[in-house]
Amino acid sequence: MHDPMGIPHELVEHDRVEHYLIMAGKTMAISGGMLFIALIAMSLVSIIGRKLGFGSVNGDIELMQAGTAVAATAFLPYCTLLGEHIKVDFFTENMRDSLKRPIDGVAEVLFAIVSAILVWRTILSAIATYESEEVTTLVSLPLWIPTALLVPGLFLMMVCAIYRAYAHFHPTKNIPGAHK
Amino acid sequence: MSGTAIGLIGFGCLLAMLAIRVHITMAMFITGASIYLVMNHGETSGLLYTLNNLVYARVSNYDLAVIPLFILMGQFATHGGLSKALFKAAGTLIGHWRGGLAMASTAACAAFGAICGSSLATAATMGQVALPELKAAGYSGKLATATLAASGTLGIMIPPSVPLVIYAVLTQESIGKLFVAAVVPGIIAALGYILVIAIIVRRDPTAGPAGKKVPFADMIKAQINIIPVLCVFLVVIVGIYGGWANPTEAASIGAAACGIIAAVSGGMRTKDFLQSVYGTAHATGMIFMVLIGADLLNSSLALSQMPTELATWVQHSGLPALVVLFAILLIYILLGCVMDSLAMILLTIPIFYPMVMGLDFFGMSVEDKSIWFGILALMVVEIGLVHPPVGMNLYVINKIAKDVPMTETAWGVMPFLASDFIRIICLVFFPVLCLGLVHFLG
Repeated sequence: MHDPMGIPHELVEHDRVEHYLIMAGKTMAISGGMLFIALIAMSLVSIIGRKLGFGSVNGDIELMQAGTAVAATAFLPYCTLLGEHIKVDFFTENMRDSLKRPIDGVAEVLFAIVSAILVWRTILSAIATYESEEVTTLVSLPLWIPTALLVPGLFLMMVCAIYRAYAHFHPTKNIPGAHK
Repeated sequence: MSGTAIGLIGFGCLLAMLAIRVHITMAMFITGASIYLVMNHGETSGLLYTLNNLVYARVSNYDLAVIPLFILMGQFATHGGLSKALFKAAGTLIGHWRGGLAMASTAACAAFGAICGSSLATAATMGQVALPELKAAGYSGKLATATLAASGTLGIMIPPSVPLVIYAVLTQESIGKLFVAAVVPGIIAALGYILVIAIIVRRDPTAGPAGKKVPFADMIKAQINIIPVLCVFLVVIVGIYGGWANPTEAASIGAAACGIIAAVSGGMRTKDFLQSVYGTAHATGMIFMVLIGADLLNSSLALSQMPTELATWVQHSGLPALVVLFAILLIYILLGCVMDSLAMILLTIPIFYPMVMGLDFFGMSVEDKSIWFGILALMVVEIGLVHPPVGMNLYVINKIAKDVPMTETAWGVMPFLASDFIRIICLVFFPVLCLGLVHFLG
């Protein structure tokens, strides 16, 4: 659907930025996955502890919340880079690729702008929670830490969206995730 | 301008943006932000304040943590080869019947759906396993592809189910009760598909020739292989409903158990493990991003009071409750022609839910009504996955079975769709089908 128009497969350009972004996206996705596995382990310890009468892990719910937030945002760059975010294809199914490509480029620009806004406001939120010294109820985890840890994922997501916008406006460039 | 008018105009702009290929989450975000600004007369501070905590508040929701966990569980099941064991178990059991292997595919999809919350994953995974076998056994391409495309929807209809979790979070309903309520309708769906296959092969015996009977010992061996998978399902559902684990903990147990089964008996290696993580990253990233956009849209709609005003209007319009309900179901079927089921639930539940809650259906209590409508909405958005023009399951199956033209599959699913419609009508008039088990266990 996103094939560069009429260009033989071997002439489609893959640049180094694309290569590095894929590496970075995969690395973040794997770290997010590892964090989830750690959270799963914590949950199991918590349930078993509770059943055996030792009590559950102190603050397990808070840790799961903070951990899920960080891990899920770590998934965003790879997902964005490969263009996994859903859109409605129905009305433009028969549109020429030469027209569809710039239209999709505009959508990617919007994606990048909104990501930038989210990065900006999340940084401010991290600063505000740092200054107000907000902590979670049971284990007193300072809330600014998980909030600040959302920023790398959101920032890289923005970079990926910018790269996708750039690739869409260059007809010979490969669009990551287009050849699945 | 009234809040309702602003809300409706916003909704129109949102649909226009979707038509020109803006990502669904971005269309929701931009619409939500614009409604905020208009409602506050251009004052930006309210919007900016909401945005500060938008991401963290949404992605740190404890109930939503079950989504990545269930996705990971499904990914382990997919990449760990559990689908093969399930198909083999069902195949050795009923494969010698006329049309038996197709029925076995449906049963295997139902079983796979019990550990996987996604229909596309179920259709793709079971399709890869079952389609070559069906072809080798001489089944018609039309019956084989239609069976898999339709049975793939059991992935979501049988809990765990990602759309039900989202419905639960949007309406503050209990995830456990919704899962339990979905069990009987899910089984009815599977039986309905099996009945459709039986009717098809009775009219055209060449479509699904009977296979050879498998020796009894082999059959028993194949059944023993799937016991761990059934245990995972029981632990998750009983754990949630029995109250000794909350949904997030139960999902953790399920993911860990599926990972271990996949590694020990399914031969999952590092490469498959990484594929599972990447698959989880794709699906989770997509869902959480849509949730962030939907969150802003829904809070802006609440600010405009459009959902409550529309609900009040419907309530006082004198329209019979069932007419309103069928109109809503019809809208879902039409939206299903253009939209993904997740996006449909997120866009429409904030508007339709208050409407349905404000009406009287067979004197049901508010709690019952909320669960019943959740199951109905789930069933009807699932239909969108199999009916043309954009039934995603059709595409998924078409990619695997390239020798069967898409139009043939699309015609092939029609009898299955008919069984879907009959089931939904039964659920509308007999709410006990979904509420019975909830009341029995509660």
